Amino acid sequence: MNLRSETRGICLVVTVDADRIDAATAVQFKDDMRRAVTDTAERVLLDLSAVDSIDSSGLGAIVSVMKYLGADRRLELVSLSQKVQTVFRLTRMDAVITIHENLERAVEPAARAS
Amino acid sequence: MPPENHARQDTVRASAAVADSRIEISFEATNPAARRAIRSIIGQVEPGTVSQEDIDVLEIALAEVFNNIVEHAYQDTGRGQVDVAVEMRTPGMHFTIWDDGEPMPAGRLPGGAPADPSLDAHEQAEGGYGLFMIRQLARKLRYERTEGRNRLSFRIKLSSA
Repeated sequence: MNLRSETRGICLVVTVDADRIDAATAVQFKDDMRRAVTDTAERVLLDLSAVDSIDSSGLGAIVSVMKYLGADRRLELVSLSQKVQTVFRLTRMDAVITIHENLERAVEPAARAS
Repeated sequence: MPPENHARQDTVRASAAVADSRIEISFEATNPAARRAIRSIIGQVEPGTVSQEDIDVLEIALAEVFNNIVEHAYQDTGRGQVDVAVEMRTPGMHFTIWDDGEPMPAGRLPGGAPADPSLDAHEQAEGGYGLFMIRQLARKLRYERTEGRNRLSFRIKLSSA
């Protein structure tokens, strides 16, 4: 799985360069994310703008990354496609994870307090 | 991933009979073959007649059902066949899906569970979401183990665009 990461202040922005996070790619995603977030960033922003769809395996992989980050560092999601939003809504995961409309909104100072 | 010799190009054999609104598709139990089967099934929906949200729901539900068979019934061996019968009956699609893999645990379809809002994000379960989504999206969901085969049937509602 292709991931690009870039530091922006206290945020580490990780961009997923794949059109899906699913059963076929979830394990790779999890491994690559663990390598990508070795930084000390307080907030990890996962930019999913290139991702068209996600399934329950991909969702499980995202939860696994959140567990890896623990209580001190937060994983937040950015730019979800309609289909990805539907999966987060159906599983009620949208109630427990912060989702930002776009990267600009996600990194603006007010977002830190949310 | 399954061994190369199982990743055949043409594992989806659709005997399309759109006139009487019933199609049958069989595919090998691998993720790529399951994705092709989903594309074939969605291809049966006449463009513009169904809302994009319902198409998304159809795709999400089928992906979860097929993944479950590939990963659990056939335990990711990539060996085994999945047989699907699809009937178009307004206002939805009726599915019957058979496989020869392992039965469901305790012979029943597990319930699955959504995220728990009383817990932090990093305390959520890593699994159970697939079955929860299937149960939310599929109507008349029924699982049977008969003659050594798993049989799952359900209906997905499709509303007009």
